[in-house]
Amino acid sequence: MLSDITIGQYYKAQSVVHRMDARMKLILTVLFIVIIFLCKNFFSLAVMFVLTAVSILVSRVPFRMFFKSLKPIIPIILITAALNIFYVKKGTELLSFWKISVTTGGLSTAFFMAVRIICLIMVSSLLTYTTVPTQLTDAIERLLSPLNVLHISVHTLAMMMTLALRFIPTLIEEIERITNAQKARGADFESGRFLERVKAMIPVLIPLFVSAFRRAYELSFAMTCRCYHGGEGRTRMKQMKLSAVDFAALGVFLLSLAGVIVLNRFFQAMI
Amino acid sequence: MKKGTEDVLLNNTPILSTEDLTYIYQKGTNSEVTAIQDVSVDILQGELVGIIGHTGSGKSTLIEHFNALKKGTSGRVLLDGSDIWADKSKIRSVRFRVGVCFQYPEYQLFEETVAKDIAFGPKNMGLSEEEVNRRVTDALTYVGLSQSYAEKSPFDLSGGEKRRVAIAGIMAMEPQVLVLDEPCAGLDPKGRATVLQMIASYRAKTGCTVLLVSHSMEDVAAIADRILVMNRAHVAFFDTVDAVFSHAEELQEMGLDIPRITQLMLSLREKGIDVPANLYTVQQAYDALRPRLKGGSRHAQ
Amino acid sequence: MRAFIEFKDVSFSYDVEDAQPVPVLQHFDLAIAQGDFVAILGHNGSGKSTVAKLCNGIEIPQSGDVTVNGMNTKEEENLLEIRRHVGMVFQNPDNQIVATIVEDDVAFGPENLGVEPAEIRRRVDQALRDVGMYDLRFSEPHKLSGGQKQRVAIAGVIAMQPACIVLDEPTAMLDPRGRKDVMKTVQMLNRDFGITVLYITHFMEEAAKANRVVVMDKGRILLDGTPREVFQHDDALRAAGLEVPQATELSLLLKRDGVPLSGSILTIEELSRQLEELLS
Repeated sequence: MLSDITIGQYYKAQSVVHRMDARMKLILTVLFIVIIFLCKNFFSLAVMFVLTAVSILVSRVPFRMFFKSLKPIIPIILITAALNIFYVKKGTELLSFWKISVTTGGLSTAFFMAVRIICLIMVSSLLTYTTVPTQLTDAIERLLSPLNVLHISVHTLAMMMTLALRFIPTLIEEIERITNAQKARGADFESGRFLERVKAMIPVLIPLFVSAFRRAYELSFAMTCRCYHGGEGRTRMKQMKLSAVDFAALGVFLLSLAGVIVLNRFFQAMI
Repeated sequence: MKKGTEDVLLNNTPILSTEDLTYIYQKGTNSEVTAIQDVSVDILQGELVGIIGHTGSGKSTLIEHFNALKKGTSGRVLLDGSDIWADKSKIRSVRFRVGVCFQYPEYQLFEETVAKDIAFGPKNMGLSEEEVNRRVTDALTYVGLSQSYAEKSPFDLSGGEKRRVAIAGIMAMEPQVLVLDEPCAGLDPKGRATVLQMIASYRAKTGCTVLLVSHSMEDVAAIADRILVMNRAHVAFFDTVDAVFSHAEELQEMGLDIPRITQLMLSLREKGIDVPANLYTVQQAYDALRPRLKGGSRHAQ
Repeated sequence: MRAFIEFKDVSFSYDVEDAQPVPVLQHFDLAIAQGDFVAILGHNGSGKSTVAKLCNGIEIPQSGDVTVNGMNTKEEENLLEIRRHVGMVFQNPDNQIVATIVEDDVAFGPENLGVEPAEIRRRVDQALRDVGMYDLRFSEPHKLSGGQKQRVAIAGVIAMQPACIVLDEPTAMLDPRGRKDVMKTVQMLNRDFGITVLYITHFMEEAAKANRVVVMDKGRILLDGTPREVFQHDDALRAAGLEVPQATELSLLLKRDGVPLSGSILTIEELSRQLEELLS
């Protein structure tokens, strides 16, 4: 049933990660990306790998969910790995044919890069799996609020994101409804060449736009009626509060950062 | 039984049938939902079937099977005796033979003029230009709009007029079976009456089989030959109007109403007054009660 | 009772591109008493939706005045206060819900008014309980039925603690069950909280539940009175593209033949009681 669409990829569960402040999760995700790019050898990378694994375990989001988000990235991982194998020439040569040679250095660099990308994907999926989209837009709004000084209306942007999230399922349902209605009148979306198919979409697109504008118009009325007048003087029901868990998590990440820096200095750099 | 109903039911060749039709949403996942289960019905040539059932009872899913927008998880749909899925390449022609008009059909209008929009279906059928034009003209007549509407933009019309243009778009395909999903939803009383009248006169002119989904028991009781009641994915009743509304209690348990006039008659019967229960319209009740009531002499028997 | 919303000699027309403006209301007068439950009936295009939009300054009359609790909608600085007092619920439930979670949507109005977070929380929970949607407070609106969405919209309005609520055909897109739930909720708001209700509809059976029915036709008031009074005028109503409740229609037919039915009849139960006496 189409009404079963879930916005974003939130995975409902009771866990420490789910309870964390969205702002902290956002900051930590960015911090994680920075640290993992600081890793210079397998020892420091191992620290981040362990951090990723622990975060996933604590989140109670099943591993298959992460595999799902990893799936579309696999080709990219493979291509990067291949490039590294064939272009990095360090260490002992393992085999060579024609103009190509594979070295131990190439293999380990490829492995290093792959682990790095996988950790990156996992941690950013963790953010979206454990945080409701509206909390994310809220967090973005609050974290970026200093930009208001530069006359950038962060509130407006966040409101637009929230409304987009709210109306995506509605519009998807609408597309299905109109498509069915036109199919019932014999519209053919499946055959013909590319241009013909694009043309066949017109009977769906026009009603869709007409309806989207009507919705936008009615929504703006409804928002005005509910006293919406921009971000000024607006309060929020849900206050974002940093709790002990958030600071503990920050502590763990900062320790990992320290660990990475130390291990980078004590062991030889790989890349 | 209303006039003509007997003729229709005697001439009992099924035009559209389902055999043990079942449809399960998201089959194979843990959020499986059975929308319809083991539905076996025979819709007879030329009859008007009212389909009732509360939201989520499966009636919308059932309709989508009639013109092959959905394919049953199991079971078959037969049109004129042959399985509509027997030849997948002919699915579009099924849709021309079973015309379905969904809820709020005015939201499917897209052309610059009313005539072009009505012509969309007939053109998809590959008809000649002359034939398309004839059908557009006829369809406008069926829905009671004058030919002067042909060149207007559908987006400039009132809500009720848009609805009629959209219905005309389905009628113009001249389907053997016309299925209308709540054609009166959201209209004012006059608009509702106009649409119902339109359907009745279209049927009288073309002899087309009509399926009408409605939440209004009064409307269904007034114009249907038979009523199909859906409840929790199953067919609860499929019988004549009188037979279906004789199950007042069961209907109410399903969250459905019975026509208000029928309610009046039933409450009188409960009080021991012998009046017929199978009355559905104000006029019928008036005709039945008037001779038994003392009063003025204007129409005294 | 004093008037809470007052229309005085209001004229309003819509601008149309390259054409004469279309007049909707002409010299329109209407006073809605505080605490009243008023239904406005009229066919599509009779001007009833315009009346709704004039009530909280979404539209401003070209001439005449609309006042809410003494505040004129023409004055820009009154508008926020007016909209806090007069909440609106529209026909299409999808197009008035702004948040992706039920309770967040109910909080939207109070948030805009700058209410303290703890107070918003209290009001949201209370409003959701009042409309019977508390158990579904964490749901996503697009997964609710039409009737449930409409009750969320009503909760969003009452969380702003308005004195009046204007509903513009709130049940037109709902199934019978949703219609009943919404109507019950609105009746409860009027009865238990004393909220003034202006209920625009074209379902006669719903209008029959109001204290007062105003029938509009071509931008004017055609009939105005209690449902019992108004529905006696079946011919005038039919001429205006409306109808009367079936119980009333049947009783009027019989009465015209001299059948001694007393008073004006609105419901099937009333008619049944009187017929019982006459028939037994």
